[in-house]
Amino acid sequence: MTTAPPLLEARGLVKTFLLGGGAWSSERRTLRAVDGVDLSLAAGECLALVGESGSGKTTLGRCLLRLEEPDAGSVLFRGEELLTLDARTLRHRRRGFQMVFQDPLDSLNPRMRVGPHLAEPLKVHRIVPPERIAERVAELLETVGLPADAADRFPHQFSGGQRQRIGIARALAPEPALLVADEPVSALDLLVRARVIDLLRDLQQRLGLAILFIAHDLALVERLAQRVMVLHRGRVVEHAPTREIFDRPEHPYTRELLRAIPRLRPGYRRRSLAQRACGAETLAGDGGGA
Amino acid sequence: MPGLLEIDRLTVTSRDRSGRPMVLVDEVSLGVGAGEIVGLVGASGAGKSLTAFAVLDLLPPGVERAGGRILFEGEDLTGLGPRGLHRIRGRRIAMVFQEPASALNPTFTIGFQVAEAVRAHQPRGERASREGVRRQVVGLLDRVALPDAARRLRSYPHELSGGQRQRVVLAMALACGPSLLLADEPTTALDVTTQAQILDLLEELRRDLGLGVLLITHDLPVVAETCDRVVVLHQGRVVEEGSVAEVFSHPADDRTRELLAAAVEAAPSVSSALSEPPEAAP
Repeated sequence: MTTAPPLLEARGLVKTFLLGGGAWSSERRTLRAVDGVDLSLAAGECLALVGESGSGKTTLGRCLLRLEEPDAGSVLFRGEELLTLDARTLRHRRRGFQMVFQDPLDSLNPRMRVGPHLAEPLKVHRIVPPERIAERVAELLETVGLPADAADRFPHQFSGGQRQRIGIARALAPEPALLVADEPVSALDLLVRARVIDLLRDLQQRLGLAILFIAHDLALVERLAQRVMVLHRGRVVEHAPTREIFDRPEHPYTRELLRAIPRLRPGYRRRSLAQRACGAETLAGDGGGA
Repeated sequence: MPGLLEIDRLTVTSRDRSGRPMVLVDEVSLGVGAGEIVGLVGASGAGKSLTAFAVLDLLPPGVERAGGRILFEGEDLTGLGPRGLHRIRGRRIAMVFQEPASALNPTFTIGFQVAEAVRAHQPRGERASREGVRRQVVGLLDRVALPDAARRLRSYPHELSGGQRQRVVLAMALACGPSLLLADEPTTALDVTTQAQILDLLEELRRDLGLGVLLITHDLPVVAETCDRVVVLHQGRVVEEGSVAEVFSHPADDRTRELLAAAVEAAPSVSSALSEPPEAAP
Protein backbone atom coordinates (compact mmCIF):
# COMPACT_ATOMS: atom_id res chain seq x y z
CA MET A 1 0.00 0.00 0.00
CA THR A 2 2.89 2.31 0.70
CA THR A 3 6.57 2.16 0.00
CA ALA A 4 7.68 4.85 2.43
CA PRO A 5 9.28 3.51 5.61
CA PRO A 6 6.68 3.42 8.36
CA LEU A 7 6.49 6.11 11.01
CA LEU A 8 4.94 3.67 13.42
CA GLU A 9 5.23 -0.09 13.28
CA ALA A 10 3.90 -2.69 15.68
CA ARG A 11 4.51 -6.43 15.62
CA GLY A 12 2.72 -9.14 17.56
CA LEU A 13 1.25 -6.86 20.22
CA VAL A 14 -0.48 -8.68 23.08
CA LYS A 15 -2.16 -7.20 26.12
CA THR A 16 -3.91 -9.39 28.67
CA PHE A 17 -6.02 -8.22 31.57
CA LEU A 18 -6.81 -10.21 34.68
CA LEU A 19 -10.52 -10.43 35.34
CA GLY A 20 -11.03 -11.02 39.05
CA GLY A 21 -14.23 -12.59 40.28
CA GLY A 22 -14.04 -10.22 43.26
CA ALA A 23 -11.40 -9.97 45.97
CA TRP A 24 -12.42 -13.19 47.74
CA SER A 25 -13.07 -15.23 44.70
CA SER A 26 -10.71 -17.96 43.60
CA GLU A 27 -12.02 -17.50 40.11
CA ARG A 28 -9.40 -15.82 37.93
CA ARG A 29 -10.04 -15.34 34.27
CA THR A 30 -7.99 -13.41 31.77
CA LEU A 31 -9.05 -11.30 28.84
CA ARG A 32 -6.83 -10.95 25.80
CA ALA A 33 -7.78 -7.38 24.92
CA VAL A 34 -5.15 -7.21 22.18
CA ASP A 35 -4.29 -10.56 20.70
CA GLY A 36 -1.33 -10.47 18.35
CA VAL A 37 -1.79 -7.30 16.30
CA ASP A 38 0.57 -6.12 13.55
CA LEU A 39 0.20 -2.62 12.25
CA SER A 40 2.09 0.02 10.36
CA LEU A 41 1.46 3.66 9.63
CA ALA A 42 3.39 5.89 7.23
CA ALA A 43 4.12 9.56 7.86
CA GLY A 44 1.14 11.69 6.82
CA GLU A 45 -1.21 8.73 6.54
CA CYS A 46 -4.51 8.17 8.33
CA LEU A 47 -5.34 4.67 9.52
CA ALA A 48 -8.68 3.92 11.18
CA LEU A 49 -9.09 1.29 13.91
CA VAL A 50 -12.73 0.29 14.02
CA GLY A 51 -14.62 -2.09 16.29
CA GLU A 52 -17.29 -2.09 18.99
CA SER A 53 -16.56 -1.52 22.66
CA GLY A 54 -14.60 -4.45 24.00
CA SER A 55 -12.93 -5.08 20.63
CA GLY A 56 -9.59 -3.88 22.00
CA LYS A 57 -9.21 -0.78 19.85
CA THR A 58 -8.65 1.63 22.73
CA THR A 59 -6.23 -0.70 24.51
CA LEU A 60 -4.32 -1.14 21.26
CA GLY A 61 -4.08 2.63 20.82
CA ARG A 62 -2.81 3.00 24.37
CA CYS A 63 -0.26 0.21 23.97
CA LEU A 64 1.13 1.87 20.85
CA LEU A 65 1.88 5.04 22.84
CA ARG A 66 2.96 3.06 25.89
CA LEU A 67 0.18 4.52 28.00
CA GLU A 68 -0.38 0.84 28.67
CA GLU A 69 2.44 -1.71 28.88
CA PRO A 70 1.88 -4.53 26.37
CA ASP A 71 2.71 -8.10 27.50
CA ALA A 72 4.45 -8.99 24.28
CA GLY A 73 5.37 -7.54 20.94
CA SER A 74 7.29 -4.62 19.61
CA VAL A 75 6.47 -0.98 18.79
CA LEU A 76 8.85 0.97 16.56
CA PHE A 77 8.44 4.73 16.26
CA ARG A 78 10.75 6.16 13.58
CA GLY A 79 12.57 2.85 13.75
CA GLU A 80 13.24 3.02 17.49
CA GLU A 81 11.82 0.44 19.90
CA LEU A 82 9.50 2.22 22.34
CA LEU A 83 8.79 -0.66 24.68
CA THR A 84 12.30 -0.83 26.11
CA LEU A 85 12.86 2.92 26.54
CA ASP A 86 13.44 4.23 30.06
CA ALA A 87 10.91 6.72 31.42
CA ARG A 88 13.10 9.76 30.80
CA THR A 89 13.80 9.01 27.15
CA LEU A 90 10.19 8.03 26.61
CA ARG A 91 9.11 11.43 27.91
CA HIS A 92 11.26 13.08 25.26
CA ARG A 93 9.96 10.82 22.51
CA ARG A 94 6.36 11.61 23.51
CA ARG A 95 6.81 14.90 21.74
CA GLY A 96 6.48 12.99 18.50
CA PHE A 97 3.13 11.33 19.25
CA GLN A 98 0.13 12.86 20.98
CA MET A 99 -3.34 11.73 21.93
CA VAL A 100 -6.81 13.25 21.50
CA PHE A 101 -9.47 11.83 23.81
CA GLN A 102 -13.22 11.29 23.42
CA ASP A 103 -14.35 13.79 26.02
CA PRO A 104 -12.00 16.76 26.13
CA LEU A 105 -13.51 17.87 29.43
CA ASP A 106 -11.85 14.86 31.06
CA SER A 107 -8.45 15.92 29.80
CA LEU A 108 -8.73 19.68 30.41
CA ASN A 109 -8.29 21.27 33.82
CA PRO A 110 -11.59 23.02 34.65
CA ARG A 111 -9.82 25.73 36.68
CA MET A 112 -7.21 26.56 34.05
CA ARG A 113 -7.82 28.90 31.15
CA VAL A 114 -7.28 27.60 27.63
CA GLY A 115 -4.08 29.62 27.06
CA PRO A 116 -2.03 27.90 29.78
CA HIS A 117 -3.30 24.52 28.57
CA LEU A 118 -1.60 25.19 25.25
CA ALA A 119 1.43 26.96 26.73
CA GLU A 120 2.32 24.06 29.04
CA PRO A 121 3.46 21.58 26.38
CA LEU A 122 5.32 24.41 24.61
CA LYS A 123 7.33 24.99 27.79
CA VAL A 124 7.82 21.34 28.74
CA HIS A 125 9.19 20.41 25.33
CA ARG A 126 10.86 23.82 24.76
CA ILE A 127 9.13 24.16 21.41
CA VAL A 128 9.55 27.94 21.21
CA PRO A 129 11.51 30.46 23.30
CA PRO A 130 9.48 31.86 26.25
CA GLU A 131 8.89 35.22 24.58
CA ARG A 132 7.23 33.52 21.60
CA ILE A 133 4.79 31.36 23.61
CA ALA A 134 1.82 33.74 23.46
CA GLU A 135 2.25 34.10 19.73
CA ARG A 136 2.42 30.32 19.24
CA VAL A 137 -0.70 29.82 21.39
CA ALA A 138 -2.56 32.24 19.12
CA GLU A 139 -1.33 30.34 16.05
CA LEU A 140 -2.48 27.02 17.50
CA LEU A 141 -5.94 28.44 18.19
CA GLU A 142 -6.11 29.71 14.63
CA THR A 143 -5.00 26.34 13.28
CA VAL A 144 -7.99 24.61 14.89
CA GLY A 145 -10.42 27.38 13.97
CA LEU A 146 -10.90 29.02 17.38
CA PRO A 147 -10.87 32.80 17.98
CA ALA A 148 -7.76 34.28 19.59
CA ASP A 149 -9.69 35.37 22.70
CA ALA A 150 -10.41 31.69 23.45
CA ALA A 151 -7.08 31.66 25.30
CA ASP A 152 -8.59 33.74 28.12
CA ARG A 153 -11.63 31.56 28.70
CA PHE A 154 -12.22 28.40 30.72
CA PRO A 155 -13.02 24.99 29.18
CA HIS A 156 -16.65 24.96 30.42
CA GLN A 157 -17.35 28.15 28.46
CA PHE A 158 -17.06 26.25 25.19
CA SER A 159 -19.44 23.96 23.32
CA GLY A 160 -18.59 20.28 22.86
CA GLY A 161 -17.19 20.80 19.38
CA GLN A 162 -15.07 23.76 20.47
CA ARG A 163 -13.71 21.79 23.43
CA GLN A 164 -12.63 19.05 21.07
CA ARG A 165 -10.82 21.72 19.03
CA ILE A 166 -9.02 22.77 22.22
CA GLY A 167 -8.06 19.13 22.81
CA ILE A 168 -6.69 18.95 19.28
CA ALA A 169 -4.78 22.24 19.65
CA ARG A 170 -3.20 20.94 22.85
CA ALA A 171 -2.16 17.73 21.11
CA LEU A 172 -0.65 19.76 18.25
CA ALA A 173 1.37 22.02 20.54
CA PRO A 174 4.48 19.77 20.75
CA GLU A 175 4.43 19.50 16.94
CA PRO A 176 3.95 15.75 16.81
CA ALA A 177 4.26 13.59 13.70
CA LEU A 178 1.46 11.29 14.87
CA LEU A 179 -1.92 11.95 16.44
CA VAL A 180 -3.83 9.10 18.06
CA ALA A 181 -7.49 10.17 18.25
CA ASP A 182 -9.66 7.87 20.37
CA GLU A 183 -13.35 8.39 19.48
CA PRO A 184 -12.79 12.14 19.11
CA VAL A 185 -16.26 12.91 17.74
CA SER A 186 -18.50 10.24 19.27
CA ALA A 187 -19.87 12.62 21.90
CA LEU A 188 -20.74 15.33 19.36
CA ASP A 189 -23.91 15.74 17.31
CA LEU A 190 -23.92 15.22 13.55
CA LEU A 191 -23.50 18.85 12.49
CA VAL A 192 -20.48 19.35 14.74
CA ARG A 193 -19.02 15.93 14.00
CA ALA A 194 -18.61 16.68 10.32
CA ARG A 195 -16.73 19.91 11.07
CA VAL A 196 -14.26 18.24 13.44
CA ILE A 197 -13.61 15.47 10.90
CA ASP A 198 -12.99 18.19 8.29
CA LEU A 199 -10.49 19.79 10.65
CA LEU A 200 -8.58 16.54 11.16
CA ARG A 201 -8.42 15.91 7.42
CA ASP A 202 -7.22 19.44 6.89
CA LEU A 203 -4.48 19.01 9.52
CA GLN A 204 -3.39 15.75 7.98
CA GLN A 205 -2.98 17.40 4.59
CA ARG A 206 -1.61 20.76 5.71
CA LEU A 207 0.82 19.57 8.41
CA GLY A 208 1.57 16.15 6.98
CA LEU A 209 0.33 14.65 10.20
CA ALA A 210 -0.17 10.90 10.56
CA ILE A 211 -3.44 10.05 12.30
CA LEU A 212 -4.52 6.85 13.99
CA PHE A 213 -8.28 7.30 14.22
CA ILE A 214 -10.10 5.02 16.65
CA ALA A 215 -13.89 4.72 16.26
CA HIS A 216 -16.80 2.34 16.73
CA ASP A 217 -18.63 3.81 13.76
CA LEU A 218 -17.36 3.09 10.26
CA ALA A 219 -19.35 6.05 8.91
CA LEU A 220 -16.92 8.44 10.57
CA VAL A 221 -13.81 7.14 8.87
CA GLU A 222 -14.89 7.05 5.24
CA ARG A 223 -13.84 10.60 4.41
CA LEU A 224 -10.76 10.64 6.58
CA ALA A 225 -8.85 7.38 6.59
CA GLN A 226 -6.83 5.89 3.74
CA ARG A 227 -6.90 2.44 5.33
CA VAL A 228 -9.19 0.70 7.81
CA MET A 229 -8.40 -2.10 10.23
CA VAL A 230 -11.44 -3.80 11.73
CA LEU A 231 -10.84 -5.22 15.19
CA HIS A 232 -12.93 -7.92 16.80
CA ARG A 233 -12.09 -9.45 20.15
CA GLY A 234 -8.54 -8.17 20.07
CA ARG A 235 -7.75 -9.41 16.58
CA VAL A 236 -7.64 -7.75 13.19
CA VAL A 237 -10.40 -9.40 11.16
CA GLU A 238 -10.13 -7.20 8.10
CA HIS A 239 -7.59 -4.71 6.83
CA ALA A 240 -7.99 -2.88 3.51
CA PRO A 241 -8.02 0.50 1.81
CA THR A 242 -11.09 2.45 2.99
CA ARG A 243 -12.92 2.34 -0.33
CA GLU A 244 -12.63 -1.43 -0.49
CA ILE A 245 -13.97 -1.86 3.04
CA PHE A 246 -17.09 0.07 2.01
CA ASP A 247 -17.47 -1.43 -1.46
CA ARG A 248 -16.46 -5.03 -0.82
CA PRO A 249 -16.51 -5.84 2.90
CA GLU A 250 -15.34 -9.40 3.30
CA HIS A 251 -15.58 -10.33 6.95
CA PRO A 252 -19.11 -10.88 8.34
CA TYR A 253 -18.27 -8.62 11.28
CA THR A 254 -17.34 -5.76 8.94
CA ARG A 255 -20.63 -6.25 7.12
CA GLU A 256 -22.47 -6.12 10.43
CA LEU A 257 -20.72 -2.86 11.34
CA LEU A 258 -21.71 -1.38 7.99
CA ARG A 259 -25.32 -2.48 8.33
CA ALA A 260 -25.61 -1.03 11.81
CA ILE A 261 -24.92 2.51 10.59
CA PRO A 262 -28.23 4.34 10.60
CA ARG A 263 -28.93 5.90 7.24
CA LEU A 264 -31.83 7.91 5.89
CA ARG A 265 -33.96 4.93 4.95
CA PRO A 266 -37.52 5.62 6.11
CA GLY A 267 -39.14 2.51 7.56
CA TYR A 268 -35.94 0.44 7.37
CA ARG A 269 -36.17 -1.05 10.86
CA ARG A 270 -39.72 -2.26 10.47
CA ARG A 271 -38.99 -3.81 7.08
CA SER A 272 -35.82 -5.48 8.21
CA LEU A 273 -37.38 -6.90 11.38
CA ALA A 274 -40.38 -8.17 9.45
CA GLN A 275 -38.06 -9.82 6.96
CA ARG A 276 -35.97 -11.40 9.70
CA ALA A 277 -39.11 -12.71 11.41
CA CYS A 278 -40.00 -14.54 8.19
CA GLY A 279 -36.60 -16.16 8.02
CA ALA A 280 -34.72 -17.93 10.74
CA GLU A 281 -34.99 -16.47 14.20
CA THR A 282 -31.90 -14.56 15.22
CA LEU A 283 -31.46 -13.35 18.74
CA ALA A 284 -29.50 -10.16 19.14
CA GLY A 285 -26.94 -10.45 21.91
CA ASP A 286 -24.65 -7.80 23.24
CA GLY A 287 -21.39 -9.56 22.60
CA GLY A 288 -19.22 -9.96 25.66
CA GLY A 289 -19.08 -8.21 28.99
CA ALA A 290 -17.88 -4.74 29.89
CA MET B 1 -53.44 8.72 14.78
CA PRO B 2 -52.55 10.49 18.05
CA GLY B 3 -54.68 9.87 21.08
CA LEU B 4 -52.41 8.30 23.67
CA LEU B 5 -50.45 11.45 24.43
CA GLU B 6 -51.47 14.88 23.23
CA ILE B 7 -49.33 17.82 24.16
CA ASP B 8 -51.22 21.01 23.44
CA ARG B 9 -49.37 24.34 23.29
CA LEU B 10 -46.95 23.46 26.08
CA THR B 11 -44.85 26.37 27.31
CA VAL B 12 -41.93 25.95 29.71
CA THR B 13 -40.11 28.92 31.18
CA SER B 14 -37.21 29.76 33.44
CA ARG B 15 -35.41 32.93 34.49
CA ASP B 16 -31.95 34.11 33.49
CA ARG B 17 -29.43 35.44 36.03
CA SER B 18 -30.96 38.88 36.13
CA GLY B 19 -34.40 37.41 36.77
CA ARG B 20 -35.86 38.01 33.34
CA PRO B 21 -38.19 35.23 32.15
CA MET B 22 -36.87 32.98 29.38
CA VAL B 23 -39.12 30.82 27.23
CA LEU B 24 -37.47 27.41 26.78
CA VAL B 25 -40.39 25.55 25.21
CA ASP B 26 -42.74 27.76 23.24
CA GLU B 27 -46.29 26.51 22.62
CA VAL B 28 -45.20 23.05 21.53
CA SER B 29 -47.95 20.73 20.37
CA LEU B 30 -47.39 17.11 19.46
CA GLY B 31 -49.09 13.77 19.75
CA VAL B 32 -48.17 10.10 20.13
CA GLY B 33 -50.63 7.33 19.32
CA ALA B 34 -50.69 3.78 20.69
CA GLY B 35 -48.29 1.58 18.74
CA GLU B 36 -46.60 4.59 17.21
CA ILE B 37 -42.99 5.77 17.45
CA VAL B 38 -42.62 9.54 17.17
CA GLY B 39 -39.20 11.13 16.82
CA LEU B 40 -38.56 14.45 18.56
CA VAL B 41 -35.43 15.93 16.96
CA GLY B 42 -33.42 19.12 17.15
CA ALA B 43 -29.95 20.38 18.02
CA SER B 44 -28.69 20.48 21.60
CA GLY B 45 -30.71 23.02 23.57
CA ALA B 46 -33.76 22.96 21.30
CA GLY B 47 -36.05 21.95 24.20
CA LYS B 48 -36.46 18.24 23.38
CA SER B 49 -35.73 16.86 26.82
CA LEU B 50 -37.62 19.61 28.66
CA THR B 51 -40.73 18.76 26.64
CA ALA B 52 -40.51 15.14 27.81
CA PHE B 53 -39.68 16.09 31.41
CA ALA B 54 -42.71 18.40 31.47
CA VAL B 55 -45.01 15.47 30.65
CA LEU B 56 -44.13 13.77 33.95
CA ASP B 57 -43.61 17.02 35.86
CA LEU B 58 -39.93 16.20 36.27
CA LEU B 59 -38.62 19.64 35.28
CA PRO B 60 -35.43 20.73 37.04
CA PRO B 61 -35.68 23.31 39.85
CA GLY B 62 -36.24 26.84 38.58
CA VAL B 63 -37.86 25.58 35.37
CA GLU B 64 -41.62 25.47 35.22
CA ARG B 65 -44.56 24.77 33.01
CA ALA B 66 -46.14 28.11 32.21
CA GLY B 67 -48.98 27.02 29.99
CA GLY B 68 -50.58 24.38 27.83
CA ARG B 69 -52.26 21.04 28.41
CA ILE B 70 -50.87 17.53 28.46
CA LEU B 71 -53.55 14.97 27.72
CA PHE B 72 -52.69 11.35 28.42
CA GLU B 73 -55.39 8.81 27.54
CA GLY B 74 -57.78 11.75 27.58
CA GLU B 75 -56.85 12.95 31.07
CA ASP B 76 -55.14 16.32 31.58
CA LEU B 77 -51.95 15.64 33.55
CA THR B 78 -51.44 19.31 34.32
CA GLY B 79 -54.44 19.26 36.62
CA LEU B 80 -53.23 16.27 38.63
CA GLY B 81 -51.59 16.74 42.00
CA PRO B 82 -48.59 14.72 43.19
CA ARG B 83 -50.83 11.77 44.16
CA GLY B 84 -52.53 11.72 40.80
CA LEU B 85 -49.22 11.89 38.98
CA HIS B 86 -47.84 9.06 41.10
CA ARG B 87 -50.59 6.89 39.64
CA ILE B 88 -49.33 7.68 36.12
CA ARG B 89 -45.58 8.04 36.48
CA GLY B 90 -43.74 4.79 36.05
CA ARG B 91 -47.02 2.86 35.75
CA ARG B 92 -48.70 4.20 32.64
CA ILE B 93 -45.80 6.33 31.35
CA ALA B 94 -42.20 5.18 31.71
CA MET B 95 -39.02 7.04 30.88
CA VAL B 96 -35.49 5.96 29.95
CA PHE B 97 -32.43 8.16 29.66
CA GLN B 98 -29.19 8.46 27.71
CA GLU B 99 -26.82 7.07 30.32
CA PRO B 100 -28.22 3.79 31.67
CA ALA B 101 -25.62 3.70 34.44
CA SER B 102 -27.20 6.77 36.04
CA ALA B 103 -30.59 5.06 36.27
CA LEU B 104 -29.15 2.03 38.09
CA ASN B 105 -27.91 1.82 41.66
CA PRO B 106 -24.31 0.54 41.53
CA THR B 107 -24.61 -1.18 44.94
CA PHE B 108 -27.52 -3.52 44.18
CA THR B 109 -27.75 -6.45 41.80
CA ILE B 110 -29.81 -5.95 38.68
CA GLY B 111 -32.15 -8.77 39.82
CA PHE B 112 -32.91 -6.81 42.98
CA GLN B 113 -33.49 -3.58 41.09
CA VAL B 114 -35.82 -5.06 38.50
CA ALA B 115 -37.69 -6.91 41.30
CA GLU B 116 -38.09 -3.60 43.11
CA ALA B 117 -39.71 -2.11 40.03
CA VAL B 118 -42.01 -5.13 39.75
CA ARG B 119 -43.08 -4.91 43.42
CA ALA B 120 -43.46 -1.13 43.44
CA HIS B 121 -46.12 -1.29 40.80
CA GLN B 122 -48.10 -4.27 42.07
CA PRO B 123 -51.63 -3.43 43.08
CA ARG B 124 -52.12 -3.15 46.84
CA GLY B 125 -52.92 -6.45 48.55
CA GLU B 126 -51.71 -8.54 45.65
CA ARG B 127 -48.18 -9.22 46.82
CA ALA B 128 -46.69 -11.92 44.67
CA SER B 129 -44.51 -14.63 46.21
CA ARG B 130 -40.73 -14.37 45.98
CA GLU B 131 -40.80 -17.03 43.32
CA GLY B 132 -43.54 -15.19 41.44
CA VAL B 133 -41.54 -11.96 41.44
CA ARG B 134 -38.43 -13.81 40.32
CA ARG B 135 -40.32 -15.34 37.44
CA GLN B 136 -41.57 -11.91 36.40
CA VAL B 137 -38.06 -10.45 36.60
CA VAL B 138 -36.60 -13.19 34.44
CA GLY B 139 -39.53 -12.76 32.05
CA LEU B 140 -38.85 -9.04 31.71
CA LEU B 141 -35.12 -9.54 31.19
CA ASP B 142 -35.88 -12.18 28.56
CA ARG B 143 -38.31 -9.77 26.93
CA VAL B 144 -35.50 -7.21 26.49
CA ALA B 145 -33.21 -10.01 25.24
CA LEU B 146 -30.61 -9.75 27.99
CA PRO B 147 -28.43 -12.74 27.22
CA ASP B 148 -28.54 -15.48 29.86
CA ALA B 149 -31.06 -13.54 31.98
CA ALA B 150 -31.54 -16.05 34.81
CA ARG B 151 -27.83 -16.19 35.51
CA ARG B 152 -27.46 -12.40 35.27
CA LEU B 153 -29.80 -11.69 38.20
CA ARG B 154 -26.89 -11.53 40.62
CA SER B 155 -24.74 -9.28 38.43
CA TYR B 156 -24.04 -5.70 39.42
CA PRO B 157 -24.47 -2.87 36.89
CA HIS B 158 -20.72 -2.41 36.41
CA GLU B 159 -20.41 -6.02 35.30
CA LEU B 160 -22.61 -5.36 32.27
CA SER B 161 -21.82 -3.61 29.01
CA GLY B 162 -23.53 -0.30 28.17
CA GLY B 163 -26.03 -2.03 25.89
CA GLN B 164 -26.85 -4.66 28.51
CA ARG B 165 -27.39 -1.93 31.10
CA GLN B 166 -29.80 -0.12 28.76
CA ARG B 167 -31.70 -3.42 28.36
CA VAL B 168 -32.00 -3.70 32.15
CA VAL B 169 -33.29 -0.12 32.37
CA LEU B 170 -35.85 -0.92 29.67
CA ALA B 171 -36.90 -4.05 31.62
CA MET B 172 -37.51 -1.86 34.69
CA ALA B 173 -39.45 0.62 32.58
CA LEU B 174 -41.65 -2.21 31.26
CA ALA B 175 -42.22 -3.73 34.72
CA CYS B 176 -45.45 -1.82 35.18
CA GLY B 177 -46.80 -2.42 31.70
CA PRO B 178 -46.79 1.23 30.58
CA SER B 179 -48.61 2.31 27.46
CA LEU B 180 -46.21 5.17 26.71
CA LEU B 181 -42.41 5.25 26.80
CA LEU B 182 -40.45 8.51 26.79
CA ALA B 183 -36.96 7.63 25.56
CA ASP B 184 -34.45 10.46 25.88
CA GLU B 185 -31.40 9.77 23.67
CA PRO B 186 -31.50 6.08 24.72
CA THR B 187 -28.76 5.00 22.31
CA THR B 188 -26.50 8.05 22.07
CA ALA B 189 -23.95 6.61 24.50
CA LEU B 190 -23.86 3.23 22.72
CA ASP B 191 -21.89 1.67 19.86
CA VAL B 192 -23.58 1.64 16.45
CA THR B 193 -24.02 -2.14 16.61
CA THR B 194 -25.56 -2.00 20.09
CA GLN B 195 -27.65 1.00 19.07
CA ALA B 196 -29.15 -1.02 16.22
CA GLN B 197 -30.11 -3.80 18.68
CA ILE B 198 -31.74 -1.42 21.16
CA LEU B 199 -33.69 0.34 18.39
CA ASP B 200 -34.80 -3.06 17.08
CA LEU B 201 -36.00 -3.78 20.60
CA LEU B 202 -38.07 -0.56 20.71
CA GLU B 203 -39.68 -1.56 17.43
CA GLU B 204 -40.49 -5.04 18.81
CA LEU B 205 -42.05 -3.54 21.94
CA ARG B 206 -44.15 -1.27 19.78
CA ARG B 207 -45.23 -4.15 17.57
CA ASP B 208 -45.83 -6.73 20.32
CA LEU B 209 -47.16 -4.59 23.18
CA GLY B 210 -48.66 -1.68 21.26
CA LEU B 211 -46.37 0.67 23.14
CA GLY B 212 -46.38 4.32 22.11
CA VAL B 213 -42.85 5.76 22.06
CA LEU B 214 -41.60 9.34 22.04
CA LEU B 215 -37.99 8.97 20.88
CA ILE B 216 -35.84 12.01 21.59
CA THR B 217 -32.65 12.22 19.57
CA HIS B 218 -30.42 14.54 17.58
CA ASP B 219 -29.76 11.77 15.09
CA LEU B 220 -31.94 12.08 11.99
CA PRO B 221 -30.93 8.77 10.42
CA VAL B 222 -32.07 7.00 13.60
CA VAL B 223 -35.44 8.73 13.30
CA ALA B 224 -35.74 7.89 9.60
CA GLU B 225 -35.20 4.20 10.22
CA THR B 226 -37.18 3.83 13.44
CA CYS B 227 -40.05 6.33 13.63
CA ASP B 228 -43.47 6.73 12.05
CA ARG B 229 -43.60 10.47 12.47
CA VAL B 230 -41.12 13.21 13.29
CA VAL B 231 -41.39 16.56 15.08
CA VAL B 232 -38.52 19.00 14.53
CA LEU B 233 -37.78 21.47 17.33
CA HIS B 234 -35.68 24.60 16.99
CA GLN B 235 -35.14 26.99 19.88
CA GLY B 236 -38.17 25.73 21.72
CA ARG B 237 -40.59 25.81 18.79
CA VAL B 238 -41.94 23.16 16.45
CA VAL B 239 -40.63 24.11 13.02
CA GLU B 240 -41.80 21.04 11.16
CA GLU B 241 -43.91 17.96 11.71
CA GLY B 242 -45.07 15.07 9.58
CA SER B 243 -44.61 11.45 8.55
CA VAL B 244 -41.01 10.34 8.27
CA ALA B 245 -41.37 9.55 4.57
CA GLU B 246 -42.85 12.96 3.83
CA VAL B 247 -40.55 15.14 5.96
CA PHE B 248 -37.39 13.39 4.78
CA SER B 249 -38.29 13.53 1.10
CA HIS B 250 -39.73 17.07 1.14
CA PRO B 251 -38.42 19.00 4.13
CA ALA B 252 -40.28 22.29 4.32
CA ASP B 253 -38.21 24.14 6.91
CA ASP B 254 -34.63 25.40 6.58
CA ARG B 255 -33.67 23.96 9.97
CA THR B 256 -34.87 20.52 8.90
CA ARG B 257 -32.95 20.85 5.64
CA GLU B 258 -29.81 21.76 7.55
CA LEU B 259 -30.12 18.73 9.85
CA LEU B 260 -30.81 16.54 6.82
CA ALA B 261 -27.83 17.89 4.92
CA ALA B 262 -25.56 17.02 7.85
CA ALA B 263 -27.03 13.51 7.95
CA VAL B 264 -26.58 13.03 4.22
CA GLU B 265 -23.00 14.22 4.44
CA ALA B 266 -22.30 11.88 7.34
CA ALA B 267 -23.92 8.89 5.66
CA PRO B 268 -21.46 6.43 4.16
CA SER B 269 -21.78 5.24 0.61
CA VAL B 270 -22.02 1.51 0.91
CA SER B 271 -22.42 -1.20 -1.66
CA SER B 272 -26.03 -1.93 -2.58
CA ALA B 273 -25.79 -5.41 -1.07
CA LEU B 274 -25.81 -3.78 2.33
CA SER B 275 -28.43 -1.10 1.83
CA GLU B 276 -31.33 -3.53 1.90
CA PRO B 277 -32.56 -5.49 4.92
CA PRO B 278 -30.12 -8.23 5.85
CA GLU B 279 -30.88 -11.75 4.75
CA ALA B 280 -31.94 -13.98 7.61
CA ALA B 281 -29.03 -15.69 9.32
CA PRO B 282 -28.66 -19.35 8.33
